[in-house]
Amino acid sequence: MIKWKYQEMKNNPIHIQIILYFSSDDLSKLLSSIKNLEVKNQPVCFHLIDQSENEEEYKKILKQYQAFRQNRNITIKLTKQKNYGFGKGHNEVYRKNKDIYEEFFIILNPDSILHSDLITNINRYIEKLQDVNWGLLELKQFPSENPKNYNPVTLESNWVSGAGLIIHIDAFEDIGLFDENIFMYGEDVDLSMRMRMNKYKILTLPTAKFTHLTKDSDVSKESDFTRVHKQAAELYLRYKFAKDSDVEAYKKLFGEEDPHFEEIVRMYNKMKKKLNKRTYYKDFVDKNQDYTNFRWVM
Amino acid sequence: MKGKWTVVLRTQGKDLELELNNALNSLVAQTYENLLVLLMIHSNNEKTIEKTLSFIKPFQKMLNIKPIVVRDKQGNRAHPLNVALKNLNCEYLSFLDDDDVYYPNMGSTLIKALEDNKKTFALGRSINVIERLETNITGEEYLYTVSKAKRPYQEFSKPLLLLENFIPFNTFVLKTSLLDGIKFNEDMTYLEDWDFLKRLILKEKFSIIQLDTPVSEYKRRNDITDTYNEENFEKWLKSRETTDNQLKDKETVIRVGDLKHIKSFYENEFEKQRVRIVEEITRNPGYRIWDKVINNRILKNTVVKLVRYIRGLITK
Repeated sequence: MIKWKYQEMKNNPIHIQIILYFSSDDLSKLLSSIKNLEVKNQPVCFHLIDQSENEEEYKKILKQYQAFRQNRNITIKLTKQKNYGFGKGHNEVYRKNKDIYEEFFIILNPDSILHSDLITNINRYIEKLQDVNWGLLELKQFPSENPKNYNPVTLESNWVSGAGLIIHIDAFEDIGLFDENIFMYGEDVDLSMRMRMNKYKILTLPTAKFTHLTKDSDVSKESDFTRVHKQAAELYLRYKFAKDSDVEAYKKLFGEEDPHFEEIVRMYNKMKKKLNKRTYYKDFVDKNQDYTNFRWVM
Repeated sequence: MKGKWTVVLRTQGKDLELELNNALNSLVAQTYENLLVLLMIHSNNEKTIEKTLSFIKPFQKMLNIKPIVVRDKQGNRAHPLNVALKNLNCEYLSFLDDDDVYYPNMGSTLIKALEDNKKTFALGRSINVIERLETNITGEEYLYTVSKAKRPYQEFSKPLLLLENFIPFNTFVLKTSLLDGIKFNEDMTYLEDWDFLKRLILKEKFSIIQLDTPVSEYKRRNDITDTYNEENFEKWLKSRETTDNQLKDKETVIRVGDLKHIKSFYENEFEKQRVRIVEEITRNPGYRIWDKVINNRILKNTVVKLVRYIRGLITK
């Protein structure tokens, strides 16, 4: 087992990557919560990356960014890039900045409000978990939580959400970053699976909380875009980590009568074509795990 | 500018990190803009008061919080609420206990419903949350979510509310014009919120809009801190008697349609009890063995033969 060497974090900034996609409406609450963070002497650097590919939207973000008063401990960098989707987008930002990252970095959704004690709690957990071979630490979403369980004592989880996640750099490099075949949704489950296959632990941090202003907390009101991407990702993950029969079982679950059936299958086939190697992971298909059967249903 | 919304947040200053922290963060996240939080600190312990006032400081940078310290009538749950009512200067009002949370849409959804429908009382839906105190590998004590589920939808009915307390305290917003001198009953140990609601619905101005949208979480802990534990049951019954007696001479109209809601409420309650009993029975090791036996063809036949044999012996 690799033991992570805990480094004194006080001088090394914590880097937080936030990908924006028409997120200017969410930004004011996020920036206001960043301003209110208790960081003590811990420097924190936020990387805001706009993927909207829209000048008007970028101007709105730029205006809010310029109004934010940076200080010695809290800095924000704003850039823009092509719309790569979620996983590839974060990979790109990581590749550009990895030389300045130390031990770990954080990814966060823009529709978030950071709780003022978030950084203090993160530092405390990192210090206490220095003997644990962790790859991913999940920040706790508030008030809606992910419909999944974690061990209340060891904090170990089956999969963690990408909405707020601490990623260990060595583990991330070891498993080959995010799967870039997935445009959006399911890339966090994929990352969790590969971490577990490589014996890295994934944990949920119950008191490192942020408010996630999710618009899709009620599954029945999910947009077609979200549902199509989620279901295509589910098929792809089953293809990647399980058997053909598991793929077929899921197709039957949402049914050919689904008005988006063809679109979902087309999207799945596109991802499948790009996949170089299937890896059977015996723990993937487990009826007690939420992501395979009803991952997104509350 | 939208009308001012006041949230009366009741705390005794205990479990600040575990509970009040969440309640305040849920208020920071509100999408309704003109919001004032009246934080009723009900304590006569100066250290607790000081600690609570210091705890809310970071939140005051993001949220308009007016703390009010209530030192008298300790243990009386209704008293700080009455003090809050005296300090109101707003159009809309709602209540929150420090162990519960609102969803970000609470104010905006319910106030919009009040305005669009010209009503005085807007009711949303709540999510039931069960938590328990845990200690994790880092040595930290925290509240672990055991379960989260939507409360069964119950259509509002005035007579039903007079019979049963089915509206959680953190699922409604009302227009302050509806209050018209109504206070919380300080003679009650529990159920002061139900008693208050019963008085509200008997007002002429009362008109309701009910939404099937989750707006808050109603939390319970499966440990001794739960209000409705066995120890408190007697006090709970007494409070129930008080509220029933105080309103016994009031009159209200019952629509025939109300009977349907009353029936469905008791059917749901009966179903809940049935599920609880079945769960208890199935947890019994003796039942589990018996269940396995009767669902196994070979064992079942053997048991049937054995029973016949014993019956035969008894007859002889």
